[in-house]
Amino acid sequence: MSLETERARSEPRSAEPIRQPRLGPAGWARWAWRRLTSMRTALALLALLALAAVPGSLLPQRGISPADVAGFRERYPTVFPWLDRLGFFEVYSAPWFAAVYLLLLVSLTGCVLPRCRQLWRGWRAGPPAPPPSLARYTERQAWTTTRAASDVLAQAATELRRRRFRVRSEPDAVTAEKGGLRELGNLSFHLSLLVLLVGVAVGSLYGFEGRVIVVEGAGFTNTRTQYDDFVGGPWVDETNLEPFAFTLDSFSARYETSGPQTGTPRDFSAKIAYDADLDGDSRPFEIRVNRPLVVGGTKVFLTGNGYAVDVTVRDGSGEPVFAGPVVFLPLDGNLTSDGVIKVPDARPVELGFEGLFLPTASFEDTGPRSVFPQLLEPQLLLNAWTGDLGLSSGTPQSVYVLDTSGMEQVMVDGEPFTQALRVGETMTLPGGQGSVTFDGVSRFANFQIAYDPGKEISLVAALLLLAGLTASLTVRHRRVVVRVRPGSDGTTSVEAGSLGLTRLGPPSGELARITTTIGAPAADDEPTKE
Amino acid sequence: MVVLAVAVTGALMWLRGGVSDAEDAGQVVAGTSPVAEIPPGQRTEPVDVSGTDLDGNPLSLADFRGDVVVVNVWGSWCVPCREEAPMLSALSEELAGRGVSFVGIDVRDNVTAAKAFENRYGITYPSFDDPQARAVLAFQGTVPVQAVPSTIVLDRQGRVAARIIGVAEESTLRALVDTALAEPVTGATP
Repeated sequence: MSLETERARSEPRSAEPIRQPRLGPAGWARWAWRRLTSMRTALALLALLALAAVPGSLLPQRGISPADVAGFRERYPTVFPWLDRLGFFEVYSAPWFAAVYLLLLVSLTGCVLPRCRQLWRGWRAGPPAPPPSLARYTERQAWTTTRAASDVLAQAATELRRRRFRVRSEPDAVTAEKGGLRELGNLSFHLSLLVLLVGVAVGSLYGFEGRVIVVEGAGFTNTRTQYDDFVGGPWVDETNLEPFAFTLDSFSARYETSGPQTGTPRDFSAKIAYDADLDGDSRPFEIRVNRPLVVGGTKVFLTGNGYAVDVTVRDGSGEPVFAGPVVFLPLDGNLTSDGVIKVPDARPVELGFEGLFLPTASFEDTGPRSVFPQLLEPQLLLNAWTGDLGLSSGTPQSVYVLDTSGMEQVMVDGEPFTQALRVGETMTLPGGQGSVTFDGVSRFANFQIAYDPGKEISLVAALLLLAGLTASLTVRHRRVVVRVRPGSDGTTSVEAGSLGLTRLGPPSGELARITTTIGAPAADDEPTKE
Repeated sequence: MVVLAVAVTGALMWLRGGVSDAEDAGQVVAGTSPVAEIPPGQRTEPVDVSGTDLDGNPLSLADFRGDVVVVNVWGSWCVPCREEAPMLSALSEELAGRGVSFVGIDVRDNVTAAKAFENRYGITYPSFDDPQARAVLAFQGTVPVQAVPSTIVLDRQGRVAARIIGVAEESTLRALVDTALAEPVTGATP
């Protein structure tokens, strides 16, 4: 961004005439580089990046919701292949998106690095030699004094140093500058923008986010097969995730028990035992809503919870064919939950159940629902299906949905067979097709496991950006010059001026305060202002 | 500017082509089986997994040294596993007398449901009860198991000789087992 001004200054001075020679490859390259690293290009690229992200929020994305992408394909079969070919369903890993990103990165780098060099040189050089004339200075003041010239200059230098100016003393003048922090702030603003981009890029290339549901007593090992859902950047090494494991010992929740907010969660806590390097030594830890478990760079957040019902299913031959907890997903704040139990290996027919779990059951007018999230009156309502669960066909299906297309609902007297079970009760299907026993209830917790190596980079960049912006907006970079000329009659004429080096001028009245302390006639001689 | 943008896009597309090919190899599509074979000279240490079977009895891969071992990672919840189960069951019986053992690793499962699965498909070989995929971790470093089902062939010394991600085709698995059987018993470390 600074290159523009630098060029503007240097070009007219070059000895070449206006008629330019034909550009060779090197010339073209330099031209392209200058265009790329100009302020205008950087801004255009930034706008383009924002624009490129729009389809990412309007169209379903494969990494986030593959099912929605499939739905889109069914609804718009004609446009889908074209949009797909152009990468609109994977916007953030589409080549054109990456191209804009990389160009912006290069553009900013090309912009910031020369600026760094410039700032460094300027800082080392200190204030420049005094100018031949102070005519350009926005505030000026002149007076004559009987004091010796060297006295005036020495006092001026002391006063300016006291005011934290950087001072350069010459035989006939003192030049001083203050507020170089503004340039540093400006630079840090641009630099942090660059770092922010790098941080986001690193995060999206090497980071991942996965989700898993863990029932009390069960556990999780950080390998790809253990995730219910996993979204990773293109450069994530899925075979080399941070090795750790944990078991969920217990999950507890506290709810408001009275007042208008009855049932509102007050506190969640998942007590786990974790093994940080899979050496068999576990340590206890308590994951809370804003207190993740951190292992290496991977964080485990507690994001939700619900109930899993413990059931034992026996098939027509009386053999247990399923025993264990089944996760029922919450539908509302009082944890009315629904779920399915699939028993594909029951004989003679496959069994499927779907139903509701109500931690505090109520069967009033609006139908069965839970009225409080704790287990005050737990009941399990099930209806049953027999036939083909569709699990042998090879097409993966959701564990939370019963595909009833190949099944028949179990009916009694023309009505769907439904039963509400309390813990310990058994529902026996008519015709000796099997039974299901409600053994108990356990809690489950939803964990989000995230690895974002760019997060810290981005945070630092954001802080730097804020600090830089504040500094560049509030700090005034200015220069003060005090010059003396011995007069013929033994007096000394003093001339002082101050100049804002940026759009913001020097603080008003600063020059007057400085000159007053070095002997300028105060009130009666107003400093000239332009 | 535009030319540059197009050039960069093109270069990235080309780069990405390379990446997505690699991605496909790790992806599980029913019916396809990305197969990897490891020549004897490049095999790593014998893999050792100990744990319990579905009845709670101790089970260790080391007990099968001297046999070619087919390790199948499965779960009763896993739909593609049902597709390959009849084949694995039949093949394990057929090859039992030829120095080939089959061992399952049952991941993230419910023991009762897993046993019902075995009953249904007539699977008689033992399986590790591995709710947390700990046994699967033993293969990290040689052939990381990223998907269920996966099938791994161990040579007579217990080293990983081949891996199939996704549903195993009978002909492929037979060929891999035959190759491992044909290797000299003492091992072929160069």
